[in-house]
Amino acid sequence: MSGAGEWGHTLPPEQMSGDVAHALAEADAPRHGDTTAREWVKDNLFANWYSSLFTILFSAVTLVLAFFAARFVFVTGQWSPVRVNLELFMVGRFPREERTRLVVNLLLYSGAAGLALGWGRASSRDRAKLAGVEPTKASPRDLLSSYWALAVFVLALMIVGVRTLGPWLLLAGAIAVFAIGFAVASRMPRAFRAATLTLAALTGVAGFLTLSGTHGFAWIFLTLALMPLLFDLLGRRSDRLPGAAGWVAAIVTMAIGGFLVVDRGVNLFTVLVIALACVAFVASGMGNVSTSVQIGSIAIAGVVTWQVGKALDITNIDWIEWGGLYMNLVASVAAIVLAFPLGLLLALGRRSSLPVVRIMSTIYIELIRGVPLITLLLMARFFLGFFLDTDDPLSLPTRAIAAITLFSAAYIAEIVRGGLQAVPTGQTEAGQALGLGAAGITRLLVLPQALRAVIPAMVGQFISLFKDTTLLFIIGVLEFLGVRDVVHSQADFRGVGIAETLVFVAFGFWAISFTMSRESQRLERTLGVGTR
Amino acid sequence: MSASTQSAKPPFWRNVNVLRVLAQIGAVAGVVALLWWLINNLLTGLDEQGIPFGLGFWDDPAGFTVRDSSFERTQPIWELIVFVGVKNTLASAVVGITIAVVLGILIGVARLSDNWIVKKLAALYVETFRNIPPLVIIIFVGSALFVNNARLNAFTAGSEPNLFKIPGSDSNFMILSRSRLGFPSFANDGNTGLFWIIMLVALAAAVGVWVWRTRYNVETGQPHHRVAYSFVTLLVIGVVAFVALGGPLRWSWPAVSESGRLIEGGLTTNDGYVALTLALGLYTASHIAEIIRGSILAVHRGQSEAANALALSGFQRYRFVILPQAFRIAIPSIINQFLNLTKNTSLAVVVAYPDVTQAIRTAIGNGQPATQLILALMLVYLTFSLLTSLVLNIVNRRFQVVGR
Repeated sequence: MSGAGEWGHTLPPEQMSGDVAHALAEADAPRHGDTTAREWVKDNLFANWYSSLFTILFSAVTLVLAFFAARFVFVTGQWSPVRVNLELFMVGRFPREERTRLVVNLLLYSGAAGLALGWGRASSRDRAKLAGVEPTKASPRDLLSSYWALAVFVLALMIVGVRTLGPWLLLAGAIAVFAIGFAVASRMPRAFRAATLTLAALTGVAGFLTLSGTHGFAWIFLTLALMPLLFDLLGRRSDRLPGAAGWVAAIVTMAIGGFLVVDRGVNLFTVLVIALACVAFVASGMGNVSTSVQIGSIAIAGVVTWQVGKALDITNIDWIEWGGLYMNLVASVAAIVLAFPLGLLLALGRRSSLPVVRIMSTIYIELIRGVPLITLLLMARFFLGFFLDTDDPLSLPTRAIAAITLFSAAYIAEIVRGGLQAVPTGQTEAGQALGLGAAGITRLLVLPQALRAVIPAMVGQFISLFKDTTLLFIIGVLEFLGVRDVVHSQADFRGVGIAETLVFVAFGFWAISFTMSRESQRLERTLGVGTR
Repeated sequence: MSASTQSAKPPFWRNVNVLRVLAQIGAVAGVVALLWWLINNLLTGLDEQGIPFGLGFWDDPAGFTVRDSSFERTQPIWELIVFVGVKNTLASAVVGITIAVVLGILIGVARLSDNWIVKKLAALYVETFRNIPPLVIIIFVGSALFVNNARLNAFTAGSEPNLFKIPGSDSNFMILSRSRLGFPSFANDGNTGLFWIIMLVALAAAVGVWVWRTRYNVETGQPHHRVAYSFVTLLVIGVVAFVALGGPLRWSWPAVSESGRLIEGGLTTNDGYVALTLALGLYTASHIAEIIRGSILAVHRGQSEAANALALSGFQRYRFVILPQAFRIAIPSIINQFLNLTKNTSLAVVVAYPDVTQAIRTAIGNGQPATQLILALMLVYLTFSLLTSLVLNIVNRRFQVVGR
């Protein structure tokens, strides 16, 4: 039966006889290999009379449209509003004299991305080795089909808007830093895996702080980035739900505290939020490592990073001065990172066996999903600031990010709930048979499978969130689409190239969303979601 | 014995039932405390700013007029929300949904075509529209059709709109401009109310005929021809009623008013409405196309093979075997898209179309209290969403119960 796998039938044809074997062999034979171009054209373009009609009609329409599109892009289009204002489109009104910080920021972000992806590569290789299978490797063809749109967008930016050598060098530098990070992380021995992740987190945070400045409590981000290493060193293995929940709560509160601090500096309220985060951290590890060791290590890390921040002393640049495409990316990344833990808790709450918790989670999710995002943004614009008892109001971008976070948490909760429902009951029963408690079953058996199953849907949510950040324009935040209004109020470009800037903005959104959706399809194939 | 009885009754802090109750009380207390703190802050803050937190403004005159609407500045706020805002939102949503469904089904089926060019063009459409924010599409359509359309004139006192005359007549067939559009339509004439009531009865009769023909077909096995029968019923009653009432409707042609600023007669609409509705229709069509394609692919292959075995033609295979099953799979997702489109009409802000969001924004801009109005706005959308889930439940009960 050695031929079974190759032929897909129980018997290879030579062991069967007669017409059936012949027909099956014919049906299984590869079809594309031996069709000639002529046959392909006949089958796919001129199969019957109406197919031929469609072919002729639509080819003509396509050719005409392609001609006009090409003429618009290369001949008649007035791209000068885009060319002159490229920096405004990308980063908004970021102070000109601080431009070097953007360069450093970009390099650090590419380094962080390279390290994180390399870490993912290394750990998936380890898992494959553990399972005894060949690790999957992305072919250049796969990568090209995922990333061509983004590459075209970046190249178009460079060719249209760049007249000096600097940006080209920067692009090359960013790619080089990414490659170095990837190479280092993917070759890192197993013992230093946690260190790689910490390095990636630290690089990312350093990139963020380059822009936001290191004043006030911003060091909390650095402490947060040190956590993977810290907890790995302490040998903490959080396999109980209270631990996981506390960990999640700590990250959320910490991040909110960090936001508030970046926005407004230190006051009683922010101190309270940060203190709450520390309590949650301590609670999350209770019972495994002694509390004093934890508090001590967090305190040391905190003081060290605080001193580092103080020594560097980079001045703050407020959200309000960020803008352009950068604002859309920051807002959507911040919102999804903040909304994920909240959505996870809501999803678990909605499936809780406690009726009160279930009802409250359901009410929140359904209320939020019933209203459009714009109503929440209007709320952020007009009265979200009143909800917090603060003297000086939060800046508009912060309030908007808070509104988007509250909004996407409900959608993420529904996605995660779908994943939780997709885990077979047998898994829970197996956990019970092993004597695990409800919390252990959720944390060790259900959540890992559920979260793996929802990764593509999460990417989809991220794409729609990214598209939704255009609504920030309506409440007056200067984002990618909103920059157009600024450009066309300049004396040179009043009424000039209106269609061109719009096409440019649309293409930017399209390229990024398209790349992400292609990448999520690739991810879906690699993870084998739906095939098991 | 006594020892085992004692161990069966754990102390209350180990009793799961007590713990469950305590946990729930704790959760409620936490949420209530948080809400109390937030709302208290809100009320204090509003009080310090001198903004009233009552519902007294509800009957106050709005104090402004709305573009292309008969709304007077003396009419109260709630009439603005209901008769201008909600009405306009629904007007855009209903037409947008129609465009999206028709286009979406066409493109979804086209993506599964055997013809390579048709397949690729449909894929191009879907990938383009799905990945561009709806707001950008709305601005694009508005800009391309109206604001920056060099072929259209502005519609102001000094500038005449583009008039399209009926050949050999003085009436306008169409009036186009950058801001206002006029199309011919029916106008009321005398017995109109009675006519529409009769038409409702005719519709009921047509439905009755449909049910009768279906039963006839089930009982006797004869062809039902229910579409033809129902349509003829509707048409006959309609024509008879129309003639008997002496022509209750008449054509109304659009004309420019004496002041040269408005269109009288016919059906008047504006650029905002067309741009919003068309753009949302195009955007949602790409999502519906994907749902249709997925649903058709989800119908088991064996069904189509069975249809081939019964020697059904390609059309019959789709019409009687695949599409009925595919629609059953697609309907819940498609209804969700209807709700999404309705919620997306709130993007009308960018084309200055007075939907409910824009009406409320204008009211806030005119000094009405923001908090209460935004909460009312949320209530409006929540009502739409509740209605949608109601319809969804009914549809699910009607279609999803299959004896398999």
